[in-house]
Formats: sequence, C-alpha cells, structure tokens
Amino acid sequence: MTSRGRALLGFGVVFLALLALPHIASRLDWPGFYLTFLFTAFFWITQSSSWNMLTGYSGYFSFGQGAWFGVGVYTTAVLAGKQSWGFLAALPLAGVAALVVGLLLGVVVFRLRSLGGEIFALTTLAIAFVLASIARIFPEIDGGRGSFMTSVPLPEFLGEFRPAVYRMTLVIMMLTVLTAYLIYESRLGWGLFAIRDDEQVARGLGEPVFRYKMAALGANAFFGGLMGGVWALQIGFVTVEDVFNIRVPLFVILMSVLGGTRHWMGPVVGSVIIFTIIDRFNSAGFEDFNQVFIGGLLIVLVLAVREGIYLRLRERWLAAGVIFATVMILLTLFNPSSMVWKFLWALLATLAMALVPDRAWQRLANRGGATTSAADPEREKVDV
Amino acid sequence: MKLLDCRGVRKSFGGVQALQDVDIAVDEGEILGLVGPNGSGKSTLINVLSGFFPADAGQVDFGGMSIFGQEANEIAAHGIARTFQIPRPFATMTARENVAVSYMFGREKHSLASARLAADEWLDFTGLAQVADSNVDELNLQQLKFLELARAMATEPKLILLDEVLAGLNPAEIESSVAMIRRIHDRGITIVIVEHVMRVVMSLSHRIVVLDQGRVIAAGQPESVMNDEAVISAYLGGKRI
Repeated sequence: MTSRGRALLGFGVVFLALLALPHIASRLDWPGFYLTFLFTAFFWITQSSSWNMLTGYSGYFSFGQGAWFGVGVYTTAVLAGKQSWGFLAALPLAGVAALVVGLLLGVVVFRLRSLGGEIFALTTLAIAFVLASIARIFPEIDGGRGSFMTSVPLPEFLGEFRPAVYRMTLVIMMLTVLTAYLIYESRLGWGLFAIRDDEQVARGLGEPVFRYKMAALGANAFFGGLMGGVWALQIGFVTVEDVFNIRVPLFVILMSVLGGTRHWMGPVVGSVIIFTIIDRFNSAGFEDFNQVFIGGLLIVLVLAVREGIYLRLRERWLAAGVIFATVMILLTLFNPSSMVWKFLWALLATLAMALVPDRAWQRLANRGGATTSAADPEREKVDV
Repeated sequence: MKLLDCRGVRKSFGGVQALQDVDIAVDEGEILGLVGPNGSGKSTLINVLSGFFPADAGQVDFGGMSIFGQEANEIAAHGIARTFQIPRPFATMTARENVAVSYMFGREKHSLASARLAADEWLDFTGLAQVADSNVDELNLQQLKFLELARAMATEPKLILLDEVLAGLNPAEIESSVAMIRRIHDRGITIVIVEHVMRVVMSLSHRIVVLDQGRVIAAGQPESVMNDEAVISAYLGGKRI
C-alpha cells in the first residue's frame, strides 16, 4: 500500500471511531462534558490547521483567523438566526462567505508587488476590525445588540444539541486536516514551501505564485469560516466583541507554532496540548493564573523545541508512546479522576520527555544501549 | 537563428539609467559572454530578461514570441532559466527537494512522483548525487553553485542565464565549473554568461557583448571585441597599454 493509501485509511479509521463515540458515550454513561471537551478540541484543530495551510506552508504571517471565523459565525447567525434558513442550508455559505472575503483580500494584497510580509500581516489584522465595524453598523447583521442562536432548530438526524454539534465539528475537522495533508503531499504544498523559502526564486523557476497563494488563503478562510458557522451555535448569544477579538488569531498562532508549522500534524498536536491544558486550568478554577502559566509554558516549549513538538515526538515515538500509556494506565488503576484529567497528566509527562534536549537525549539513549554510537553525528564527524 | 532578441530595452532605478536602449540578440545554440565593468548593467539585464525586474521600455522576443512585460513564472515557462551570483537555494529543503521543486514547475508541469526521479538525474549530471539528501546549509560554495545549475537544468530550459557562476571559486573549482558549463551547452542549451574572469569568458564564449554604463559599446568575436578601443577605454580608463 502506498503511503498516501495508508494515510487515507488512517483518516477513515479515526473518523469512524470518533463518529461512533457519542453512541459509546451514551451506553457507558460518560458525563456530557466529554463531548463538549472533544468538539471544542475539534474547533481549535480546525482553526489552527486551516491557519497553517496559509502561514505554516507559505510563510505569509496571518492575523486574519478571527476575520474568517467571524464571517462564518455571522453568516449562520444572520441566515439561520435572523432569516430562519435551515441550519444545514446556511452552513456551507459560512465557508463560502469567508472564502469570498479572503479571496478579495488576496487579490488586493498579493497583486500589489510592493507589499511585503509585514504589510500582509497588518492587513489581515485590519480586516477583522473592518468586519467588526460593519457588523456593528448594520442592524441586519448585528447592529451592536447581539443575536441569539439558541432557538435555531437542528435537523433531527443529527441528534440532540451536544451530539449534533459534535458530529458537525467532527466532519469539518476531518475535512480540514485531510485537506492540510493532501496539500502537504502535493505540488501545491511544495510550491507553498518554496514560496516560504524564497518567493522570487520560486516564481523564477516557473511557479505561478499568485495562484498558489490565493489557493492557500482561500482554503484557510473557507475552513475557518465553515467552523465559525457551526460555532455560532455553541456561542449561543453572538456579539461583535466576542467574535471579532484577538483570541482566535492569537491561539491558532500559539497552537500551530507549538505543534510545529512545518508539518500538517503540527497544528493538530499543538491544539490538543494547549486546549487540554487551558481547559483543565479553567475547570480547576485557576482562570486568573491561566495566562501567566500558559505564557510561561509556551516560552519554554517553543524555545526548547524549535521545530515543533510534533516532529520531536515523532522522533522519539517509542518513548512518547510508553510514557503516555504508562501514565494513563497507572492513573486508571490508582486514581478515580476523570478521563480528561488523566489525559492531561499523561500529556504533561510526555511533554516533559519531549523537552529533554537532543544532545542529552542522545546520551541517555547511548547509556541505555538503545542506540549504537553510529547514531551520534558528532562522533561520526571525528572519524571523517 | 535568433533565439532571444532584445531591442531598445530601458530600465531605470530612480534617476539612474541602468539600461539605455540595449540591443542584444542571442543565436540558438551559442554561448554569449556578457562583460563590462561593475555597475555596467549586466546583472540588471539578466534580471530584466528573466522577468525579475520589469523593463521600462523596449522589445523582447524569445523564440519569435514577445515576452516583454511577462511575469518571471511565465518567462520560465517559455524556457528561460537563470542562476544567481550568490546562490539562493530553498533553505529548508534538501538538495534533491530543491531540484525536484524546480522540475515540478519549470517549463512543463510535472507530478510530484516524477520529480524525485528527475531530480536525481540532474543531481547526477552535476555531480551532486552524494549530497542529494543533505540540507543545503551543509553544502559548500561550489556545490551550491552546481545546485543552482541543477535547478536551472531541471526546468528543461532552452536558454540559461548564468550570473557570475564562477565568482568566489578557486582555480580548480573554476576549471570543473567551466567543464560543467560546456556539458550543459553540449545538451543543446543556449547560454548567456555574465562573468568577470576574462580568461574564462574568452575561451567559453562564441561571441561577446560589452556593456558600459547601461549601453552596449561593443559586440562580436572575443578577440576583436577585446581589442576594441571603446572596450579598452571602458575597462582601463582610456589608455592603451
């Protein structure tokens, strides 16, 4: 089987397993917040993976995630909330509306040659402010009073509210990560990596860089908006201040950078790590310390593992798997805390392992006899 | 037959006329040497021909079609490749990936799968097979210059513009680079070479064009051009030795 075939099979298996989860959860009487925990994780995975398609792959730094998200939220809030469209009819338009706004921005900033990367970043930041003002001015959109999503009926086949949101966010998350993977493994992906390294040279080799940047920006905006469209339901009462703020763009940047922007899995891993930690901190009542702690942790992680946690974990997959499984099993045997807490502790233990610098790790591995001296690049060089 | 024909090409930066009504024709299959003192407009001409800088005015025909005003990627698709004086590899990629990306886009569009095979072929051609999997920061200057050549060749060009490929190399490296340029030419590729090492330009080029202050001051056979009064005065300040 080709590596792409294996990956697609993996996507299928993960999707079916996650799709079956609400049924298992209701059989096993799991607390409802497990689903909320998971679909909020799906939300962040989608936002950061879609951000990474543009910024991680092409190097164009974007603060625009809040704008795509916000356009999506307000599309369903207006169509399903105010105009009484069917929710599933409105939802695709959330993605399309964000796509259109993204492409309009792209035509302007990518066509003007003189605009560098910094200007692009500022423009994407500005667009969220512009959109927020538009939403505030027009009462048809918001008018500054907010709008309720709580009475929007959902199709029956999706189930109750919580499983319904879970299923919709799951499908969107899988589509987003699958797209990120397919781009990564395609000419488009390689073209974007070339743009990140040296756009002028890439263009000189014959790459249609404008089209490629538009494709990356379009994919980013589309999936960010689509997930925003579902998220309007979870927010319940949609206000301009809650939607168009700096939270979404800031968190997707942190999650992707932590996980690693050079690989399609990086944002997935980064989102799970950061979201889990924040969620447990909030539930333990440490909201006030949250930002101090998260900020400190991020500085340590990003400085210690420059290439991103995902690649580091993949390099040490055996140790990561053993540590994670051991902690999970020990906690299951001796600790009655909830599954999410166990997951957090196992995650933190694995992260601690990932923080060991490469050189020290090499020495540990040698002493343990796990690897031979040939794996030590320093020693090899001396012989040459 | 003329492969590349520029007439009246002008380019200015602010108030500085970098190119003033430059007429240059390159015949199919020839090696054309482009020489001139520093600041004479050689590199600007390379940048204009490859679409990196848009020209202000003039006519540029390639293979009988006008390419004036086209973007660099469109010009590359017609079959013009270039190298850089200071190598500009894709820094986060291996040597093989650098060449593979070039082959994927280049003159024709190719699939990802075929690009790896083609990349190996061109790495082999330029003698870089043993560093194929190295990151580019592990390569020395000559290897980086050869990587530029491999990348240019992988676009399957008709014409290659070589911008000072020999600058910074030692005599032995220069010799092997000259042999490499000849092998590229043997593949039927037309070459425009900008170079400061006169001995090399004289021996490689079929014809030489001399630029000075953005103008063509002489063109013709290497020996006759180098004995031209205007050329000697441009290089040596008006006195004949």
